[in-house]
Amino acid sequence: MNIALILAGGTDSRFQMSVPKQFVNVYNRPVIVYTLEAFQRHNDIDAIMVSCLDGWQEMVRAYAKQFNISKLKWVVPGGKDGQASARNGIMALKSECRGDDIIVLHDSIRPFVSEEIISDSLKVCRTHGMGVAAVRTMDTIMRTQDGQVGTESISRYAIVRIQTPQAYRMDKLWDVHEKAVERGITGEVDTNSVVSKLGEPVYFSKGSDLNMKINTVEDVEMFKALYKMQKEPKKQKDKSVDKV
Amino acid sequence: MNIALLLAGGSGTRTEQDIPKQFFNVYEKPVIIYTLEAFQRHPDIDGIIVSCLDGWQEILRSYARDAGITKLRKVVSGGENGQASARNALRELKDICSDEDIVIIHDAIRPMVSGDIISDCIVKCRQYGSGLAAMRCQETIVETKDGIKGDTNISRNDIMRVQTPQAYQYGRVMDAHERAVQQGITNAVYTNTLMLDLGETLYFAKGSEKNLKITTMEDVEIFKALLRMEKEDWVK
Repeated sequence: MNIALILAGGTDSRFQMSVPKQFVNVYNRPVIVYTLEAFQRHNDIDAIMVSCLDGWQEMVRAYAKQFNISKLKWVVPGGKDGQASARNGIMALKSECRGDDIIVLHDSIRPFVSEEIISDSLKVCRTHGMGVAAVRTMDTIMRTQDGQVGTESISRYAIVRIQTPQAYRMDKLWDVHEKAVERGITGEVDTNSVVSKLGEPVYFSKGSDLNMKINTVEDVEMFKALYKMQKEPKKQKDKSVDKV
Repeated sequence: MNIALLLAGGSGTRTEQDIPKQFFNVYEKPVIIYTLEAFQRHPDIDGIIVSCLDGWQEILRSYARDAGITKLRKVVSGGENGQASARNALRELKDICSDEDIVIIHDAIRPMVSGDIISDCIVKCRQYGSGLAAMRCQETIVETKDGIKGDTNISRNDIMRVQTPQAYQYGRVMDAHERAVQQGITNAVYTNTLMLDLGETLYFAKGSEKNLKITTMEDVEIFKALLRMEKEDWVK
């Protein structure tokens, strides 16, 4: 069984609106609904759990019903950071899942996740016990102390940027989060960081720049524009750069 | 004097298209023209030189004429990589620039560069001798040797992502490129990595997430969406 665990526990003081970013409306539905739809559509996902900010859980249930997210089975309280939200979800799933079930963790504020990206995280997970969406960076990377001046560069071929989805076998995921508690590792933004802190390798699956995180009001605008474009028929096919 | 130096030497394999990405048409206009327009519009830019892929130089001149890019001074032959492309153009500037003039090196495939970003590079360069558009990372960064798995996280607070434009004093950047050749450094992707390899210290300026580099077909989609956003803002 493959279960999507959608992380929606966060509040971000940098976001300039009162409504948390995962619940901001884009064309009359909250961002998280687009994310839920991506997993609802995916054939290999059997059920969905949302780890949700307190006070917003009823809204998630209502919208899920309205938009036919029939795979949504559980809504549990979120935590104060990515690690805690994931942990709350995993605790609740412990009694529902077997060790070889796959849990796909995903940020609720990445609504543009594609079918292919979800599939690849599952595929890598079946081989390596985990598959974490990752992308190369096209910018050069420089080390800096103060953000003003730099003296050293890091090869961009030596690093990747980590996104979600992140698929883990349930037994692995449980183990990672239990060990973190034992060793006093807390406050990490994502589960892959916990894995790295434990000194274990992190396995990569396919990510994408389109799989963007909605962090700012500008990102909301960007999401709208991309969404509108994808909805349109490809009338410019002949004239544009799309290869026929 | 401030001269913009555009790097358009690449033939790019990641897009899997036959047309080089800097010449892709997006809403009936090649990507490089959007980039040229950004520098044409900027009041502090006095001239533009382009280091261009062979076979496309005459095409570029025609496009530029039609788009009213009057600041375009020279189109020179691009090199086999970013370093050679920059060096070719810098050498061509010998008769035009004095050591104190500022050269703003920029990727032709970053068409969303804003006036703000160009200005801040110039300001930082006047103040510190260099100004590189840069920004903090929003995502977790992991070190990898094979691209299949990763080991350690690099703290987001210890690094900056460096884009273009990159503004340098002409004398200093020309000297660095000549020294690199003498020392056998030949495959630097960017002038900043080359200068760091030579032991120089460089200063950051304002960058932006929107200042994206178009290297894949997905990036073209994002670029189109960004253009549409801009338009909507303007309509309001």
